[in-house]
Amino acid sequence: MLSIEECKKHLKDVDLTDEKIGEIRDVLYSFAEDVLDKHLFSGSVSLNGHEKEDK
Amino acid sequence: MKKKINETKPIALIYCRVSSDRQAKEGHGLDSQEHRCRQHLQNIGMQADRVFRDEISGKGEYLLRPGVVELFKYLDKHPYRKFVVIFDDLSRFARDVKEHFEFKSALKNRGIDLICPNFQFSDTPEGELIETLMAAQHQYHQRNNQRQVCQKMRARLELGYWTFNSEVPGYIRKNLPDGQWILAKAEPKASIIKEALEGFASHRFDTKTDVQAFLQRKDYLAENKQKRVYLSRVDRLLERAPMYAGLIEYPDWDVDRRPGKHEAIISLKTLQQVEDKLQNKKRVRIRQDYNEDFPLRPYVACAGCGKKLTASWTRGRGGNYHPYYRCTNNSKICKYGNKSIQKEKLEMDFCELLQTLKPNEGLANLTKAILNDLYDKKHTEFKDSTKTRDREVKRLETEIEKMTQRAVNTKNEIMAERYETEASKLISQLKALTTEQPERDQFDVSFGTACEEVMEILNNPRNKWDSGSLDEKGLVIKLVFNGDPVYDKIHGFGTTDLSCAIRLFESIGATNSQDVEMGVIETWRSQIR
Repeated sequence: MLSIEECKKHLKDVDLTDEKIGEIRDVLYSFAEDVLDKHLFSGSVSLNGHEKEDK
Repeated sequence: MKKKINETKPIALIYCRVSSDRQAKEGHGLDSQEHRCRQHLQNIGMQADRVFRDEISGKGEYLLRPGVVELFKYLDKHPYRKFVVIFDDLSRFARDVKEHFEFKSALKNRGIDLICPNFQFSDTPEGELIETLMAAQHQYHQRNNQRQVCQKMRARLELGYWTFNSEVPGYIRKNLPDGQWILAKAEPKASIIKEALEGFASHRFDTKTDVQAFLQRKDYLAENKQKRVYLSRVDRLLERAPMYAGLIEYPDWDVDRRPGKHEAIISLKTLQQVEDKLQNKKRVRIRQDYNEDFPLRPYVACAGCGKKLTASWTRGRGGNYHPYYRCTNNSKICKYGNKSIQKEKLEMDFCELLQTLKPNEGLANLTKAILNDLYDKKHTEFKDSTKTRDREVKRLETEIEKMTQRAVNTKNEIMAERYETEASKLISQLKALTTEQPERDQFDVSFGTACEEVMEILNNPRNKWDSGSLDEKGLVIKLVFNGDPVYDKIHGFGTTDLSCAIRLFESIGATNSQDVEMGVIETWRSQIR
């Protein structure tokens, strides 16, 4: 996972606390992982709850 | 230009090092080492100018020791002064032969002589031989000691005791009468972890992000004086699920999973559910109330009471059906209870909100960096998943062969039919498995496609919402909102529920959004490692 400092470099001149940058990083990681898993592991993302089997 | 050579008496610098807390407390402590060095200097008529100390070993890299770095800085700052470096024992100098001679050479290159009270350095071949043997002996002792410690720790693990010093959230170390220790539950963290893992297992928390939000609400890190719970902490919590189920395992030392001596926080059933959920991410999982007619139904909550809205087609007076969203709560409980919201209005409000979201270059760059960072992780997961699949394919092929042979060889028709049915089932499983995921050589292509989709959603969430599948719409919601969006029948969607990343979108504006979009997507493929 990228460090807060690395994230700051990419975000450039954004004036945010480390905590906020950490939150943004988490949202983006979580989102990116879901999309990647969908493509790489053929199924789809878990959106909520129950599994759809062969429907 | 000739260097100015100082012919005066050299200045002594003391170097001391311990590599563990135990050494620091016992006879090898830094103070004891310094004392012996000072005594020796006194005996040879010298005095110490400065002392450099290290409390870590540097793990074979002397330049990782802060005291050594400080020493070299000092030496380089005074290039024309004549120094000697004294250390208590040859074993304090370096932990192996290679490091010993590298460190010595770095000092010699600066014109520094070495002094050791219990060793006489000599540049003769015999002196070098003895020095090499001594360094090798210290290396042997160090490695042997390390091996013995590892063996003892491994034996302890095999007996079901956790042996590492690092903190395990939810547990504290409890001393045992035999001088050893065991993990014991520590409240309130143990209960919070239990609820988090059980929630993840039961789908109360569907994603890691939901667990993260739960831990945040529970002030999980209050004891650590930290406010924010990062996603990596949730990952570690899930990785430790076997330990929380009372088990011990340590694959790096070939210690298989076994019952531990510590008290479990979650049940084995919960552990199984957590592991199944983590492994089954490849499967399509979707809410039962998903419906193309009402794509927002699984997500949108009522602003009056917080309950999720429902949606349906309602028959009007003329017999025609009209689509509505509504809050099903009683009107006494919720001001919007039982009041219908036209599908068109609610979805239009939502699309208008999406329309206002424009990307920012910094955020796009960060996302790209995150995708790059995820490449290795996903590649490893992909390889592991492929290996598991290959093993399963092999097993199924063997089983199919076995069933077919039995069907051919049996003279009993009923049995033959059963074998054939079983073989058919196995063939179906095999077929599903072999078409399930991309082949190895497709990894980069699939990864690239996925990255493009990430950037597409990021750069134009509205477009993805309009054209995407229900799953893709779910991804848009996940990116845009911090949890479920809340809708007010009068005021529409607020901005308070927008995720922090999206807030950053808004605050910067859309001055160069198109440049970002095109630039990133076009260059993506060429940047895949």
